[in-house]
Amino acid sequence: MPFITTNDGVEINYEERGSGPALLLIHGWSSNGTFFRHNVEGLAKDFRVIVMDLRGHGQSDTPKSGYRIARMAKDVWDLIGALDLRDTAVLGWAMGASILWSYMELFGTERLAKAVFVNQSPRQYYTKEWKWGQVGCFDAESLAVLSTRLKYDPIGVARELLGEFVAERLPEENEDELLNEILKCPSWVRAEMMTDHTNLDWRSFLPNIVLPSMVVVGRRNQLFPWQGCAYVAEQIPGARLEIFEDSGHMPFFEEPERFNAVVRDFVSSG
Amino acid sequence: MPFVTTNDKVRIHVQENGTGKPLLLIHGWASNSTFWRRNVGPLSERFRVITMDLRGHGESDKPASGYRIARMARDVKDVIEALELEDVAVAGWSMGSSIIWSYLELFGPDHLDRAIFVVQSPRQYYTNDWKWGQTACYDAEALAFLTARLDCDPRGMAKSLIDGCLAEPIPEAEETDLIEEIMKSPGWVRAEIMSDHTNLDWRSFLPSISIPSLVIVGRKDKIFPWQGCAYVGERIPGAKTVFFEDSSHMPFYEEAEKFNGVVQEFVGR
Repeated sequence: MPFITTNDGVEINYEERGSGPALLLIHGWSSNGTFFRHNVEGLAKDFRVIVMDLRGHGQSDTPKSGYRIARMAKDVWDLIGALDLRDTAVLGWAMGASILWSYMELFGTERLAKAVFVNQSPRQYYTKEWKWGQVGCFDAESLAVLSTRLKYDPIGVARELLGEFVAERLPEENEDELLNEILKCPSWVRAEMMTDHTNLDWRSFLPNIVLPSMVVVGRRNQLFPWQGCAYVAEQIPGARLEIFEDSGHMPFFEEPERFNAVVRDFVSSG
Repeated sequence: MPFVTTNDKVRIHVQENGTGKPLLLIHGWASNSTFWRRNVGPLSERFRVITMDLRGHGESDKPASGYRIARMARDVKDVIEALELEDVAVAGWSMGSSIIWSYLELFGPDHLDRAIFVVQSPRQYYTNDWKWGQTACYDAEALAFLTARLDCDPRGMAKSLIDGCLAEPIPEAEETDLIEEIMKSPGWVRAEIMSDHTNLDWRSFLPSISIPSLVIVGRKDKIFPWQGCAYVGERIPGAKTVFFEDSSHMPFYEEAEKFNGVVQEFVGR
């Protein structure tokens, strides 16, 4: 399995399929590249598809520190640099979208051509004027509950998360296997990442995004009110919005054919 | 007034004095480069001293977004590269230290050859295993108080901050002047920055710092228990720690001569 080494010495696992314009897929919190199993083959017919495991996830290293969104954005930068990708289309699912926002905040649009943001509200925490936050991690106290449960019941949290990823039940044959993928990420890593991720507010940054963008929203998302994820498209100038009526948090898994077609159309269009 | 423009088009106010080895001074939360008023003159007799106003502070731009520690670390990198500085000694006061930790986490020791960390605990929030957090912003509720007060009473907050920074009172005119400098940073900017800064925990990162480091601690610090700031010196391999017995949170101002001497010795080595 190929790796790149980041500037702070962390080995990041990635896989490549196909040829053509580069399309980099970035997974969300607690998961890993295997969650894009219904997408890589299909998209590789038209693109050079790269799937990575974030630090602490899947087959990548699990260093003692660096579980911050900004550091993971630098990891993406290091991967893109090491593979010498140009004009990359990047796709971030949930926390992966936040990582892309951080990338753009730190590095601008260098080496990027297009961006796809899948199911992430720009702010996880509720405030007086923002009710489209994360359903299970909406303030400091709910984060404390989550962190504690992660420590004492990591499997229970993972099982519950899997249930919330989809609008309907997961296919039985996937349940244990996806659970094992999640459990490759130690629970303290999951807690540290969530602590940084959930504290960020990207609302004021979104209007600065100049890259052609597409926003994918699952109407039956159990983790965010769909309006929070759709808000991203309202705020990024000229962004295209695609709503998946029959999906929860994983439209790429729940409605893969349509998802692949929509991504193919967006990435290919001039 | 000289400015550096960052890669996201924010103008950062920068001043340079003296020649020789570059020494970059990074101020803390809510303040700006004028807080180094007792240091720039003496230190520039031996070094090329560069001060900057962080985004949202002093004479720098106040953009609508980007008030995160990591983005300000990128601003520091942009300043260093625009001025073509190499082998930089970098000093960060309080939140300025966190910005340097973020710089090191993101960019490694690129362009840097030594660092000075002045009065910052690696974690602001209290937990059951960490009581050396920030005395006024120690958990999410305390941050909520701070944010609300910044909205309603930004000047009162500025005065409270100055009171906390100093072990002994200073002449009123001087205090008023420092408060006016703080007021150049809008209340909402101060709140947004604190929201990111105070949520970070650098404890597990400190052992990976590989450049020679000096840690400065004010024994009478009212913003942090001094043990929290001294912990930084215990965790960075080979770091030297110097205590300022008569200082609260601004040893470079309260014991300026000693501070300048200690920095000269460390940077000139």
